[in-house]
Amino acid sequence: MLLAAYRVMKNELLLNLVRPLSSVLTILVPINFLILFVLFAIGGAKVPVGLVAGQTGAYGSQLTSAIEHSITYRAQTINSPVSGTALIQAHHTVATIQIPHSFTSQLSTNNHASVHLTINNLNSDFANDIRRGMPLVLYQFDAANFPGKIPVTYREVDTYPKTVTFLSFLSVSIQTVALLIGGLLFGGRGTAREWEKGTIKELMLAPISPWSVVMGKLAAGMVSGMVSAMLVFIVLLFFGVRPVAWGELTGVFLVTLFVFVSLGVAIGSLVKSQFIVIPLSFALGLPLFFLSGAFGPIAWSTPVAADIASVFPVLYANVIFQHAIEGYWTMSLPPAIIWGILLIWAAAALVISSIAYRRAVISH
Amino acid sequence: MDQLHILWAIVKKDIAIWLRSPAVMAVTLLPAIALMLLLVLQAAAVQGSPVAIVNLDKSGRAAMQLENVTTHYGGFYSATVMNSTEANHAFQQLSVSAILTIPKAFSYDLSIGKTPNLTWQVRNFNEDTANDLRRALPDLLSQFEKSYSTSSKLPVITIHEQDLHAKDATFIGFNLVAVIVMLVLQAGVVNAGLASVREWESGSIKELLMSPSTALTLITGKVIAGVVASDAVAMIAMGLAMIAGIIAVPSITLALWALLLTTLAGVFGAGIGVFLGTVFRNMERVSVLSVMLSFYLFFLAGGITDIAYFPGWLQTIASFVPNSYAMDGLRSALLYGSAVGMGTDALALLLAAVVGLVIGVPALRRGLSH
Repeated sequence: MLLAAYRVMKNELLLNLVRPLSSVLTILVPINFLILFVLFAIGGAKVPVGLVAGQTGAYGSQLTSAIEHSITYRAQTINSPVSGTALIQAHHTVATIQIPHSFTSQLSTNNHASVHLTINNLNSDFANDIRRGMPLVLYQFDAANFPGKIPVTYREVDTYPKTVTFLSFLSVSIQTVALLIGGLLFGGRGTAREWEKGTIKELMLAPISPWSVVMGKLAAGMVSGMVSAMLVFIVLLFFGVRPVAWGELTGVFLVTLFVFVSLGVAIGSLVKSQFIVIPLSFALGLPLFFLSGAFGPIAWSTPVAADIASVFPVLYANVIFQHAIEGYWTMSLPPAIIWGILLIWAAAALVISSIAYRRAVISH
Repeated sequence: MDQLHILWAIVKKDIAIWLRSPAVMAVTLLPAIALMLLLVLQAAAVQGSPVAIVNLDKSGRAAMQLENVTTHYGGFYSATVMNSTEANHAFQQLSVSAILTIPKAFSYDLSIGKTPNLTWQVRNFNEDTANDLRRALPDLLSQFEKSYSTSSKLPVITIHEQDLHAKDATFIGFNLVAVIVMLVLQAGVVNAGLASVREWESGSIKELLMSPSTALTLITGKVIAGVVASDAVAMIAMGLAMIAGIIAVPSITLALWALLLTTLAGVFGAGIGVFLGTVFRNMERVSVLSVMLSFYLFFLAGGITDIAYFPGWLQTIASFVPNSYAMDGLRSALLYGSAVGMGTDALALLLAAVVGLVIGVPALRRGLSH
């Protein structure tokens, strides 16, 4: 049985080699996802604003500095509000902050000054970030200039000594989605190809068990998927990702890939078309990536999204990857249960792939 | 006249095949549907994460006012009043992302002019969620200070806000436009691309070559079929969004602008589709490439953000991506009710459509001559 499975695997891998363009395209799909999500992460960083602040005096300079060093804004100094409007219209900034020339004198003499904020309120999410950034800037300005006069102060207590960048956090989920899409594509395409080319009849007539075929397909999918996912991981290492638990990382890498290669074999047996496997992989991969804790723990998501995510293995794979790479758990379940669910998924996926293949063969 | 009949037959045939082929429909619609589903599911969570409030000054008026401002603050998904033990448990269980603790003497300190100090415990998993929380507290404190007169002598700095649009578009509406543009392009690429591949894969290219159809009629038919498919899916998607109240019903002029922009985007997509179909002549490869291309163009054009957030080099790339102009124009028409900049967007898309045809048509012509 094992020898037959080995032959199926070898044949499968050779087929990938004789069709290099399709194979390379499939291997590169997860890398493409990585690039796309890096673009997304870059876009989710600080708010680009034009800052009009000429000779605004001592307080004006202090406020300028607070804006330039804020966690919210990426400020670009400009000459006038007109330049600010031009930058907004050209989609180079989304807001203009204008500190008037009389800022310092007004604040010193009248105890009151104003700042003009022009917002390209494209949507409520972006606009609110811009609006909420100003009180923080003013709080920091007041704390630096009028420390004894602030009516209410606060002390921030961070749970972790270092705040991971958005890109680093996101990159862990990108590794999971690379395994998901790579696994589904390699498992699914390899199996669907047998029906498309009509070679399934030869496999059915061969003196080997269906189990050997499934095992061979799984093994081939694991090898190809590994190549693809390793490429993504190497790029992530270049981005500065440094795992803290290599053993756990290797384990979750293999189990996750196994789950999706198995499900890929099942999908390939059901749809019998490589052409359908491809959009299905994307359609499954993207929503599950976003839903399964890509941006933060699912407990902070909407209840419906959290409930949907908790059904799928992507969530548990993400949580374990976060722990292996960043060192913290993003789910309150005990680690043994998180691992248990992922392993149950692996066993279930194996059974599903075997049943799907057998049913497809019987109905053929 | 004969060529017109043939053209009509080719368009009808390609659209009929598209409508009857679940696989092609899946390639066209699934990526966009997946993105849309995601937006709907995540929309509520975008406004912020859940937090806990521990008020140790239950009898104080100022503390109650701060508690009230916090529970009604729009920057949190939810803000729940808890006792200290419950809040710590919820924090450990990750049910809340932060705890705001109002100290016991908060109201008294404020009343005698002393500065009370709050504690803001933040689960700083990553910069994105942590910075949202860091921005939220000063914002809600400024709201509290406006609603509760303190004896503070702190100089007042007023923010005069001026918004460019009458109201903020919703998160779903804003992103839906990007998804519609992706759908338009995908429909054009897939329908024209796979319609071309199919002729080679099924061998029907020989029959077409032997028919009285000229190469130009054949190519025009493929492109028109792609554009019709693009416009059809765009109209259906926009119609559904209007029925659901996600986007407002535009004026006739703006609706015509929207139709023009989707048509031009569809022509670009169809040109690219014909090119991919002719060069690769394989359904599987064309389907991978078309899906990847759609996603690339979607993200490079800003996707669910705006290109202003990109670094300079990426903004330059985005300015060459047709989706950027289609998204800009459609958002103006459907979300902000404005035609400002529409001419520039239409011109850029016209140029993109010409480029698409210049790439696609000669490739198919060469393919036919072989």
